[in-house]
Amino acid sequence: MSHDELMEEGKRQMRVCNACRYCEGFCAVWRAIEWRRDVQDGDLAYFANLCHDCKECVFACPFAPPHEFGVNPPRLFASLRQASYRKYAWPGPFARALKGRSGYAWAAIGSVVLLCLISLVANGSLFGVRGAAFYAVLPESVLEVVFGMLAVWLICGWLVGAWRFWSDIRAVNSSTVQVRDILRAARYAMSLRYLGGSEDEPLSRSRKWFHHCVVYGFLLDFASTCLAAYDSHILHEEAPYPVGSPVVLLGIIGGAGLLVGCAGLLFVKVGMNRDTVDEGAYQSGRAFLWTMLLVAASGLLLLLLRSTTVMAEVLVIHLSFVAALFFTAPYSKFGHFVYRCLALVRYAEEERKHHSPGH
Amino acid sequence: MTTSIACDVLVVGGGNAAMAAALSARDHGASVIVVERAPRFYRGGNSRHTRDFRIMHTRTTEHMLDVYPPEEFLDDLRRVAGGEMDEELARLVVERSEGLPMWLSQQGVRWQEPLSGTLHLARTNLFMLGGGRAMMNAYYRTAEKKGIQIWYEAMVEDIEVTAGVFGGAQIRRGGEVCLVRASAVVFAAGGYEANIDWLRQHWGDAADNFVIRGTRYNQGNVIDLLLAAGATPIGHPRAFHAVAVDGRAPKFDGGIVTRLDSVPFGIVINLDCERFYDEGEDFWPKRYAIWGGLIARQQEQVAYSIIDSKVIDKFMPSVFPPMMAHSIADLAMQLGLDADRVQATVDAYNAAVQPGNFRPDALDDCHTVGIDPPKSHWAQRIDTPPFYAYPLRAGITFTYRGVRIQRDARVQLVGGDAMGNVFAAGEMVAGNVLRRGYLAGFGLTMGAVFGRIAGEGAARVAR
Ligand SMILES: Cc1cc2nc3c(=O)[nH]c(=O)nc-3n(C[C@H](O)[C@H](O)[C@H](O)COP(=O)(O)OP(=O)(O)OC[C@H]3O[C@@H](n4cnc5c(N)ncnc54)[C@H](O)[C@@H]3O)c2cc1C
Repeated sequence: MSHDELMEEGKRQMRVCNACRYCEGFCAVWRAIEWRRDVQDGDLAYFANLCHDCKECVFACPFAPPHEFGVNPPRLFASLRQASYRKYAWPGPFARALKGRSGYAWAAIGSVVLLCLISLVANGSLFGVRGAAFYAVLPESVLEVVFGMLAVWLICGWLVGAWRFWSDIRAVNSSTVQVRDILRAARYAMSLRYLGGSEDEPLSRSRKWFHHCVVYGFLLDFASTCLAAYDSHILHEEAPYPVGSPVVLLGIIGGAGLLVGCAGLLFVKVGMNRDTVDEGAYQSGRAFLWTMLLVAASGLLLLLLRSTTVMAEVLVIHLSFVAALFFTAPYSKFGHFVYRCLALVRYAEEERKHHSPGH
Repeated sequence: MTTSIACDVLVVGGGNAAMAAALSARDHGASVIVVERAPRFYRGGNSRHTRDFRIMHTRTTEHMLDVYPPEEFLDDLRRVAGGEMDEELARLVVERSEGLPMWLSQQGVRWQEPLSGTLHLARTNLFMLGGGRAMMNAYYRTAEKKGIQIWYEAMVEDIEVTAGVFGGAQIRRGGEVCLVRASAVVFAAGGYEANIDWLRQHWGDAADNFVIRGTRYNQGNVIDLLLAAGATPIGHPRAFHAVAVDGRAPKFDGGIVTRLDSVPFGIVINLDCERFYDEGEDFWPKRYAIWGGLIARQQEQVAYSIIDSKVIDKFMPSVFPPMMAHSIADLAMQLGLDADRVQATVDAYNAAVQPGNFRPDALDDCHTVGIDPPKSHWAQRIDTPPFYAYPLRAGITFTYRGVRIQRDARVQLVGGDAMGNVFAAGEMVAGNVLRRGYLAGFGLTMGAVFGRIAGEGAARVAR
């Protein structure tokens, strides 16, 4: 389906939904739809990213396929989310090349080659001295430059995407966002309020908990990395750190969370009713989970093997996965949180406006 | 060769009434088979298109505001009944309605808190979270868990009744026919609104132009079988509940989304380009319930609602976009009507509109003078382009013809005795309480109340 066809199809389905409104008790999306009579392209992107894919609606819908109205919001919104990652991501031309499974693979292979080259140049031989510290394999300053650049790339990509998306989902009657809207949206996001599940798809109800594991696992690992940077630059203590140190402890707990969360979500995906998913979104979601899982697994493996002779290889592999994750981040499923959080902020603003007395 | 299977209670149908009966029979110890004519996706007949129950309650609850005392409920019923209501059965339904929310919650049905779309009815009606199909999913999930056998695409073709006692039913399932023997049976197979041939017997060729809002599987053959077995008929065969729906609606299963409520905001004309009824007579729900019948009596059973851009956002949006034009003549052309005559009707109406204070939420003072039929409220000139039109048809919700039951949901024989082990509930007994008229949410309430009574009674007989 072309972009225009997708938008037309979205508007058609939304007309059915807006004439029905039986789903209004399920989640934010339905209220957002009710607040609009004429749906524009930007509104579709807003609904799609507000949708957390719990699927309650499609199982409740008397007009879902095979009915001739063919209403299938989870699939529609998944396609629209894919379209929005392509449309808003920056720089645009990479979006096509880097989406999906092969994008990760190329990025990972590229990173391995790059890191090997770095190691070769720095040490004169591949992987330098056996059994030594991390920075003997890959010089700290070089790593900092490479990953610093990746971080800038990722943050810029997300910021530009966020800006484009935000300008697109402004409705004519949108008011200014207030601090309390942002706080409320943060609460919705952090508690995954709208990531329910459907009793008609038993496993889907565990998605929320697995997702929590992924997010908070990731944040712990991020905290661990920041702490390591602090130890290294401010306290001038060189990596690797002992197992009992906060850096390593945070890393282990976070890594375990990521492992459990990603594996769980991958498992839930297997049992999903494929009629309600968009195949492209399904595959890119899976690819992202696998990358995340590999990052966590190789990280834990590195910890386990850091004083053995294969440390250098494991280190290069782990860092390559991380680099691939970061490099594809503006285009991959990784960026979904950016759009979803913004959609929640918009929603919180609209909710306040519509619930305030006198409206 | 036909296979033969036995169970305690056979339930015929798969909607709200049938599942209430099946679950209550199972809870009272019976082994139960449910025979549903529709395939799995379409299970639940018209019940899968519903939204709310009407519930008597004497306290504010989590999901219902204020109170709705039994006497008020009964008064509301009397008001729509047109003088023909079975007081005893009505009172029974009203009283038993209070226990439904709790019981249905136990069956897994979830409720919606009062929200914008439901607020105006939140005192009298209780809304299922996600509507009728979500409710049916819950019913079926619980039934499966409790060991009730469910047969889809299985249709009762014949029944064996000897001297008022049910012995078994012949069921077509896929290409096969089998016989189910049961100690008791509950019939809850809906009305006959999808049987166009039957409708034609009473409405002539008009029947071909009706839209059936719900399932195509409610064809009334079970009503016929029961009448042939000596059951007392009830309800006029011509009686149905019908609303104005978008003329582009599918023949079956268009459900709630095809109803159109633009009528009071403009004028409605027929194929002769003439107005034929006071569009501003009354509010929803009265207006809702009469326009189906009005359109059914027009030539070719079509009408056209014409409005202008002043009021386009005053009613629930329709599933199909309106036709739009910058002049009335253009609009008439799109509708395939005579442009001059439509223009003349609009002009005559515009000239008759009196100045007033337009208030969509009240019986306002905007009315016409000097035309027939008049428009009593919400009459504004149709003068602000673009102009919009919707084709309208009569969408049948349900029929009233069925079998007479007694207080315990047993089917009554022509002689006045009750059939010992034959029970009925739902739309096929709707005529027992109301012969005409309708109160929003009453269909489900009556179906669940009698369904539960029937299921329990059938389980008792079986033991
Ligand atoms: C669009 C729409 C909205 C509505 N909204 C509401 C509402 O909000 N609240 C309300 O109270 N009422 C509402 N109604 C009315 C309501 O649908 C009915 O009152 C109620 O659903 C009837 O329930 P039932 O169980 O008797 O019949 P149904 O739910 O129609 O079930 C009949 C079942 O019998 C099966 N069947 C038929 N023939 C056979 C056979 N020979 N063998 C086996 N199975 C057979 C059918 O497949 C079907 O499953 C609405 C109706 C429509 C059309």
